[in-house]
Amino acid sequence: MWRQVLSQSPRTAKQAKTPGFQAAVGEFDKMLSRGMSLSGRERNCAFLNLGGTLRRRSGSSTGGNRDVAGGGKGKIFANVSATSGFDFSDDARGVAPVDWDFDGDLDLWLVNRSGPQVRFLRNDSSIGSEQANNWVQFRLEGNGTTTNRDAIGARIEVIVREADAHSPNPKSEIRNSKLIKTLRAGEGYLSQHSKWLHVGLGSADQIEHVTVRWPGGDVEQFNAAVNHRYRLVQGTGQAKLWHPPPEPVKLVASVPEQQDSETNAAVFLADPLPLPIVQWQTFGGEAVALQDDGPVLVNLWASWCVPCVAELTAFSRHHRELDEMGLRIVALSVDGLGDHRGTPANAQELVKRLKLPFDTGMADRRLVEALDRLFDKIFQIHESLPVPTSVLLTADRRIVAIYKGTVSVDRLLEDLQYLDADPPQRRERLTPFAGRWITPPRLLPLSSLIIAFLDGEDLDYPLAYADLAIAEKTAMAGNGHTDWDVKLPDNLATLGQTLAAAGRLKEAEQMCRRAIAFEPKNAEANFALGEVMLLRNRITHASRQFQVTLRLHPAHVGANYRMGWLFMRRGHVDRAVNYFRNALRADPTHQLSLLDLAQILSTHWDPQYRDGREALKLAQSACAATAFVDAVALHTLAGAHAAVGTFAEAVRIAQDALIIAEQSEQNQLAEFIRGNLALFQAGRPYHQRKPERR
Amino acid sequence: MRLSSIKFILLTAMFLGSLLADGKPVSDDPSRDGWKTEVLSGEVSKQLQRISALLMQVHTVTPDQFDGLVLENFRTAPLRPALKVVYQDRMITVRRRTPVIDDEGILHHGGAALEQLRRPYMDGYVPRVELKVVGVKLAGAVFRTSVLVNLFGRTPEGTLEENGTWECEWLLQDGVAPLLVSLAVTEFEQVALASRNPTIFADCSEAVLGANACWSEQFSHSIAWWVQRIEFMQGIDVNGHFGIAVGDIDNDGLEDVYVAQGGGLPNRMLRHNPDGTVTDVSKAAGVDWMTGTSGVLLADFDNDGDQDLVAATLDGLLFNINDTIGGDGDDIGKFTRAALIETTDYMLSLAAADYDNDGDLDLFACGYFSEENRGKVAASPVPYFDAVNGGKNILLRNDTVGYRQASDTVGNERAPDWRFTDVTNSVGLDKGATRFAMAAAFEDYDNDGDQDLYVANDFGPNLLYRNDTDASGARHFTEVSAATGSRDRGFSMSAAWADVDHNGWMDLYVSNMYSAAGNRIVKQKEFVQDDPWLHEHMQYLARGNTLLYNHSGTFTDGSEAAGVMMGRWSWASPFCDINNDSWTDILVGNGYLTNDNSHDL
Repeated sequence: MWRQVLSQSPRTAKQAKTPGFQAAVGEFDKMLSRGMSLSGRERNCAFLNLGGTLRRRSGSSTGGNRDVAGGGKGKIFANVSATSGFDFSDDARGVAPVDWDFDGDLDLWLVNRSGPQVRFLRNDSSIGSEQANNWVQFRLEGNGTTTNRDAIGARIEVIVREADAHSPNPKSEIRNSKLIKTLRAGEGYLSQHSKWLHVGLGSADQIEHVTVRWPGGDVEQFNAAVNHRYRLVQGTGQAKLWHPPPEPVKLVASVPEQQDSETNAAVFLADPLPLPIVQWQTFGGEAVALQDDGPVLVNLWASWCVPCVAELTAFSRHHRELDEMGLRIVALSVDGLGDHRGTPANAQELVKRLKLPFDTGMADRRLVEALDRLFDKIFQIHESLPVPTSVLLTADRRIVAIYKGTVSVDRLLEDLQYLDADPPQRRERLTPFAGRWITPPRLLPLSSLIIAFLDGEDLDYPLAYADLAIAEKTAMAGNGHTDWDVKLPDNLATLGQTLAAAGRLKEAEQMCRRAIAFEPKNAEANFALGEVMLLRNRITHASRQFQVTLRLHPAHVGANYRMGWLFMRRGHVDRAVNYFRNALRADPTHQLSLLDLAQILSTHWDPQYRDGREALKLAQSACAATAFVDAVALHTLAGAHAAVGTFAEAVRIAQDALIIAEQSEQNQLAEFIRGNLALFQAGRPYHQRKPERR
Repeated sequence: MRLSSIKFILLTAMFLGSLLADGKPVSDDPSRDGWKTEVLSGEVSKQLQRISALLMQVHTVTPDQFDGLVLENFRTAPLRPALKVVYQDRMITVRRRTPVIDDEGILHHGGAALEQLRRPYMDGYVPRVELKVVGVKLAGAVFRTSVLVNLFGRTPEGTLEENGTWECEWLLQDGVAPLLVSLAVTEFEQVALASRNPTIFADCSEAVLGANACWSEQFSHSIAWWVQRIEFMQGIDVNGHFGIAVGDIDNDGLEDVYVAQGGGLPNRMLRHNPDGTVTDVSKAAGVDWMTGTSGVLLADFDNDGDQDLVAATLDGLLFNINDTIGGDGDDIGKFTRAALIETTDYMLSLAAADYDNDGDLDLFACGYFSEENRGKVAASPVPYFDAVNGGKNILLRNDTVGYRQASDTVGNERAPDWRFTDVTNSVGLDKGATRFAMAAAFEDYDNDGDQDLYVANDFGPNLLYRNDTDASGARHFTEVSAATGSRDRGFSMSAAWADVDHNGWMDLYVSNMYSAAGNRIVKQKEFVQDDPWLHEHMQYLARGNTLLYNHSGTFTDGSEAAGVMMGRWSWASPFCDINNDSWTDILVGNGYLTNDNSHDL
């Protein structure tokens, strides 16, 4: 993390968008969600105060608030992490001290992220109380009118008399010392300590008095004796002795058991998500797809997986019962999928041997990937799909339950009764415990699923989700929920762009238009349509779209770039340059703008538009962003060098560009570079040919 | 620091499962991104593990076990140097090395050196040994490492804990593991505990909680386990930031405990039984809230003599009024929902105090993420060390009307009108209010009779707000961290106050991040190599916790002299006098994310 993320730390929000930083964070994020640790298994620390003050070193010239020596014995605190017994390797979060067992020392409640999430630690320093250190405890009570009842904010000062001069440890003596404490509600991190103010006294055995500065201004004095507990009530001037309950507190220390070994999980979703396409192959090789026909349990198993076999057998044995509940079972083998442990033949043989009465077949890669993506979306952590895995689908192919590992028939039968439950009922079933919620369940806007599936080659799922998302948003709007799934237009636009990149231009255009229909003022949707129009060679229409985009969002990088590009083609250099500069103002790293502007500034036939030095800067940025391995960028850089006259560099870089272009079979580009290279070698820059008058 | 922000934001390519064995494995391989010192550190760590193993084995260490570990002529001064007592009480004795380094002292070869270090433990149990590389320097064929050494084990007298630092020199040769050339012990401290108990604190969790179903069914599982079983959209947070509050909810004199939990898991109210155990009364008490909860407090907000509950939840700040006083007998220890103050931001720690000294408790809530609304995108802190795009801190002035006097009897009008007013801007706490605050603690740091406020920020410097009354008599907070020397810069997660040196002024302990990996790396020249200012600044961030000594309202950083910096990835770091000698000690809860794969990022 340090290497990758922080070492590329951006200083500004703009810098945060650079590909390098985003890539580093993305990789890091992947590692985390994959279950790697980050500062895990760290042992809690404890530092013992050895007593003493911070003395200033005389003549310190540094001026700043830096630390200075504490006098002869070394550091003021000693590391007692292990000795304290506090040094669990938990992911600790909150710590709350309280004298729980009333033996006069502070015990601790801890809360952790790791298991066990709660720990109680008993302080044993008062055990064997011969010569245990002294203490006193106070519970304050304000008058409830000028001072809050809890007396939060009260400051107490405990003045102790000089202890026995022959005390064995000079450090624990306090001579007429003033010990101050403040009562707080909330401190440390996410923690609130006991409201009893606990004061350790060392070997001091007499308390002169206790002064209380009540919040609100009153000051009051009380008397107290060591090793007692008192309630100090504002205005009474009299400390009231308080006694703990007489029951002995006998707690036995132990090591709590770790309970994370159970790996099976049955998760009934509060928010059922659609799985629009479920296809598989029969053993005969026939392709089958699920249609809308009743609830289905899709079970993924493998022939080499022992629990799978047991589970399939159980399903088989109870098949009639499940069938009577209307459940169809489709058990698909993942044998041979990405792993060498089994083969389809093994799977088929197992099915025959077990005489499975329900649908069976071979799972296809696409279905498994789809489930993987959906699970990642639902749980926001990544874990590999276990074997077996099952999902319970409603008739319209929504996932209502996920079973990681095996699922018992009993559980299935129970879950089947909740297929039509409403979201609050589902949510109750999601969590193993009952309790009260403040708001109804949050539901995931479906258009986010478009994006979750967009980076694969298969566009069927994103398209299916787009249809579902559009239907849902339309229905919600019909019911008056107009702010449902506000990202739908953006996500449809992104899908449109992806369709365009895949060459499916007609569909791309439709998708962008649907996005605009939902939100006419959406800049991304309008821009996306412009890009598609460009690909469809409808230049005028494209140009109009880019202008609309710029009216909505004047600093839109893509639209500015495109306008620049269009004007450049038409020979309107001034306007082109303006637009490119706009784009770069919004995003100084925009690659295409860098390159195109650098081109103009290096190679335009009209010298008034040339500026070799700036071209060089822009081209260098472009090359750096692509780690100097992009032929087009390198070629542009070479041209810029030639424009400023550093031909040796121009030649060298053009040669690199040529090699890369040849290796990646960009033949037209290679040809062009060759031509330029000859020019550079002859000490001449490349200039575009002035267009002939028409 | 909470990097979960990244997780929420970058909903980028989630990749395929191992079932398909597709795609390239994501790796954290330093040799791939060109950090040679990290590679060498890894190799040295392997050698150190061999040394740990030698220290922990039961039989004598033989010379041949050093083959491939040290140079043949390796010699070192005693690994346990001559020590003198610097602290002694009934139970604890602390010894440190004598200041004079004995040049003509004994030099051991490897075997004898380890024997000397092991000897006190050999009659008890083999010690726990940890050797960790925290600093590196490469100079040609020589690689220098600073190594933190920790031993802990039993002896016939009790237990022994030893912490030290070794400065090691290693010889690098191609194709061979680094060989130890020299070793100098630069720091050494020994803590001996004479007690029949192995440690000061004993884990009695099972004894206290075990009779409750929630112990084995809910608390015994980690959050990492729970996030696999509860939908993210219902508010379970993989980072596990759930708080704890201690308070007496039923006025029986025994303080109870309220534990916050993530979405889908109920917050738990644990009633303190006289025998020291707890009973889960969450449902009966009416506070078994399932909505994801971070900070919680038990305090008397309506001044009626019982403890009310406030919880920072994903749906807002939820107030629950305690019905013990003013209700009938059945309402003891029971709560009614009183008010919900919606927050679009994600809030963390809570702190209550009477900031305006008008006799009732006001509430401060740390704002961490802005618009942490599941489905929406939270802003990522940029830049890391000076971000201002976090959630907004809130100060709520208590304007609850209709206080009942303590003497009111049952039958009077219940449930006063609970009202809180957001006065953040009008009192000046809006300055610096969006710096990803994690913790806050009130204290009268200048001893002038009102509550000042220290806020620990994750992605920015910490802030100290001094509370004053202005000319018109209105309360106002002025940010004075720079002027007072309390502007600690690390990724701060906790703030605690106590008078550590008995001078009558409250000192501050702030928890940050100390990372062994971080410390190694931030000092290397490759780290933000093109920005020297940033390079310098970042070094501060891995440095560790800070102890600020207060004298007359001005703070001095005494962290190094105090020796309290090494807390690792620290969270709650309270002051606590654990041995009652009146000198307040420090506890540091740490550890960020422990998942299955234990390789540290």
